[in-house]
Amino acid sequence: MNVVICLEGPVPGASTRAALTLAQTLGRGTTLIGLSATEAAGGEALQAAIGARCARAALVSDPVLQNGDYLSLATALAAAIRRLGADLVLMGTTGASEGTGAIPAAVARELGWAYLARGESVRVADGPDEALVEVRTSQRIATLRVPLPAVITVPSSAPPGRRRTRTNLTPPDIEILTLREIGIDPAELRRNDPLLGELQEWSGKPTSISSAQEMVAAIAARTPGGRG
Amino acid sequence: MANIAVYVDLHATRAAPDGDFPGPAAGAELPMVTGATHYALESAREIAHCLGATVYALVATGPLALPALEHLARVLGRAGADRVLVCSDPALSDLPIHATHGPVLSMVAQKISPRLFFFPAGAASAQLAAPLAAELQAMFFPGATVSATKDQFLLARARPDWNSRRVVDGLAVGRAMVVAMASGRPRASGATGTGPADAELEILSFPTIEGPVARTTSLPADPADDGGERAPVPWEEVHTMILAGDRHGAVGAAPPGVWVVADDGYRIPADVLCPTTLALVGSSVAWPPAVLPAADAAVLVCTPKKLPSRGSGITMTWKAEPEAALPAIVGALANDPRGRP
Repeated sequence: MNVVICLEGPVPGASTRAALTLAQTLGRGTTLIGLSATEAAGGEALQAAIGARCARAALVSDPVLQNGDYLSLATALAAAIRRLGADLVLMGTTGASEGTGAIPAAVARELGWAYLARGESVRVADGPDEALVEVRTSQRIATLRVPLPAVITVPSSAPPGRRRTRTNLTPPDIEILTLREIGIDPAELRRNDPLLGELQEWSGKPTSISSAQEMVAAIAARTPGGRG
Repeated sequence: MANIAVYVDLHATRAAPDGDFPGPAAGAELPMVTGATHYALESAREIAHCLGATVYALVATGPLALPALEHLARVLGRAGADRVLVCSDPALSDLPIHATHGPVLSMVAQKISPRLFFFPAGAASAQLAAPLAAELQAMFFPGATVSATKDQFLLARARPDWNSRRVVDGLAVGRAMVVAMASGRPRASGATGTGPADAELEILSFPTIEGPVARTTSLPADPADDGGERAPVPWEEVHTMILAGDRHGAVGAAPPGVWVVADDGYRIPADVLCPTTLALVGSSVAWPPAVLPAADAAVLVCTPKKLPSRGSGITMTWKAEPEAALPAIVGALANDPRGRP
């Protein structure tokens, strides 16, 4: 079974690293493939995949991806996943840069695959067509049978699990895939609006407090309606 | 006229003997709307005033008798809904996931073409919101807070770096939006909300699902695993959750409304509902710590080795003894009513 781990570039975030860690707990019958999509080659993402004993590592690289929205990035990733021949895709629940968590669901939709978010552990079921996935809520830990192929996201809080020994002795080369090679016309992915909203940076410095009472007062005094 | 949809999260409870539930016998188990849903409906109502929109509340749940559905319609009407759409089917009885609940959302989206689709903070939002956004080719805005006037409404969310945020002028967005709300408490209680008293109830048929579907199964816990059933957390009663590593001192029973997660892994459930999540970050942790996207405020005790260069939503530095920090904060929250939103 081919398992693709989608890695955000250039530096994978906590939940992406958790997905990579979880992939290493899968059985010996699985082949791990690291996949990243970025506007430029390089970055730590695929190096992390290679370090985690992925048998293959692939990179979709095109400048048009720099200004794309989550839908265009998902289109590129889905095409690459089809090209790599995956049965299961693991991704971090949220990315380190924007933290929306939109891309995995969009990838699943592009592929027409099952989707499940926040899987804390994944096991391949007895048959080849199902995975057993644990999802934590405030009330319980539910175990679900998910039909394959599927896209499953992994939260940063997923427990590390037991890693399987992999005997890849030769680190793989990074395969560079162009959009045209995976069947996409770059012009179709050009977007004017990344669908993120206006970026506003906070100014000022952290507040220095000297007591817990000051902390409580500072929190109570913040703008009603939420963070910042 | 624009339409706004709000997904409704439910949890079951006993009816109060003297509650406003005409019809069902006292003590009968009735579904109750979560506080996070009330908060989402309140926000939707504010935006509806700005847009001149109709607010639809969507309930996707297991089998419910008609009196229970009528009760829901009354509650949701008072909470801000103009119309209530209910899809009740055994397939919707368990954990809301895209495989089972997604087709219902798709059906509703096709029916009413909402300009905004709100999800309250909770497990359903984590599973359902992003796939719906992808299907609708919509702007996806998670962790949102809303501010609305009669002429404008803004959505805002913090970015993971905690040094910036994204803001959207709702009137300027030329496509549908799927909004996953940050946790929050409604200003008005559910029973005395400002919505119209009677929401129109419409019952929808469960759509046909093709292909294999993910299903929940109970499996024996792996003896080597620490998973399994956990004692439920009373999230509806928690106003502050403190995420603390195990180096910040021990605390006995936390006061009412305060929940402490003393776990170096900062492992919190998907459906965090309380309004304030406070992270204690010690000197051994590099900035920014992975826990921050889940937190509303961070208290840096004995300051980490690398300080943030800019301020953020709420970041505080505090030169205190690590072992004394957590007990002091818990004590302050218990004694100071201003600490309760």
